[in-house]
Amino acid sequence: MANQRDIKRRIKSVGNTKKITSTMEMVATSKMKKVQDRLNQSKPYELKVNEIIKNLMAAGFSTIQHPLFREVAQPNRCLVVQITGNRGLCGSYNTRVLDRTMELKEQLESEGKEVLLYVIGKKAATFYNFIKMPMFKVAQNSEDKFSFDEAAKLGEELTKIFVSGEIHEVYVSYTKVYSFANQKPEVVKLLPISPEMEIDYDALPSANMDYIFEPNPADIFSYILPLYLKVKLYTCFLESSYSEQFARRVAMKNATDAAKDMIKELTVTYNRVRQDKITTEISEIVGGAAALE
Amino acid sequence: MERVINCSILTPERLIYEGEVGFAVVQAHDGEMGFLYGHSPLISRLGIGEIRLNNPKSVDYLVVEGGVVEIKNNKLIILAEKAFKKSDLSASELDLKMKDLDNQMNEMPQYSEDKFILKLEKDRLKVRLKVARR
Repeated sequence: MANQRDIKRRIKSVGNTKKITSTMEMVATSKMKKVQDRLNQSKPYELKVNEIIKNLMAAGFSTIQHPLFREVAQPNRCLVVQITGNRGLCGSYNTRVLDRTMELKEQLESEGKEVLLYVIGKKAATFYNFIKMPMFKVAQNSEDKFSFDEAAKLGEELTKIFVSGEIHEVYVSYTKVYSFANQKPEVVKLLPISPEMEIDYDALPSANMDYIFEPNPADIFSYILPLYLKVKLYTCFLESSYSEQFARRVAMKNATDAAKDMIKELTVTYNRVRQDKITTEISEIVGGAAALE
Repeated sequence: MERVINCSILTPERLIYEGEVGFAVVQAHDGEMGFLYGHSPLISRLGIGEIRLNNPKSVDYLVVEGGVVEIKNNKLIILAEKAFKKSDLSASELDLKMKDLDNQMNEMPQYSEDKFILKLEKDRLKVRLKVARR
């Protein structure tokens, strides 16, 4: 059995780890709350943009001519934008997104398409470097400093390469928030925008047909589509960020609990060793006294 | 019944304004556009400019930089790319920025592309400044 001093040292070091993990848990919780607020604030905007697009489509405006809708007959170059975190210590958050992306990549490659990766987040970039997989582009995740402007910039960049014909399809691999306690990695097709996805005829009140459009539907349409993309990207980022903080919080909570259990066990062992020592000392004294008589 | 319209101004990042107004003026793509109770359904593009929301007692001023406005059933929704309340803006800070921009523009050669971009930036600042001084 280890001696008293070793056990004491162990308890202290586990205690320190516990302090760190519980602080990280608190930090993750507060960041999570902030992202949740932003998510709630941006939801109505997204809904409204979708609604206006629907209204425009319901007005009988044909969408197919718009370049963002243009599908290539034989798409063979795809871009996958993958959103992960910069940091670890968040359980399986990063690996799950990576797994999902690899799955998608294999699937697309089996269909004979060339897949390019646009990697956001330091963790994923390190992984791809490790397995020596080439990446189309690498960027850092700006985490809580992330703003709509950045989503807009990324959206413009993606639109540019899509419209130039360099890339035929764009996917986003991220973590979707299904409910505030349930997140799963997801893949969505960003470009070309598929018209079926957007039109939900049942949800359209028939009275919406008599909108006045200023200056004309086509103009609004070509303005709102890029906006739609940007908003979509923005929410993808926010949802990913929320999921990351949630995963980190859970991981840190587990670590704190494990540390608590460990301290308890170690304290029991420590007391036992201490008692043993005392017993031994007493019996030694008693033995010594008996020998003197 | 009171003849008011329900107005909300949204940006992707947050809800800027929500409330009931009697008369709203927004900067549309080609000029100002006013909304009163009973306006027919309309969707329009917005330009860069100020928004005035008239209530019986007070007037709220905001800046909107591009976006879309929709009115339907007396509900006015402004989806802006960027929007500021008057209280978000400070005239003295904007003045400084304006001077900075002017200096930068003066150093540039005439008719350059960069200058044109700065000109757009200046237009935005002008509107912000106008609202901040209200």
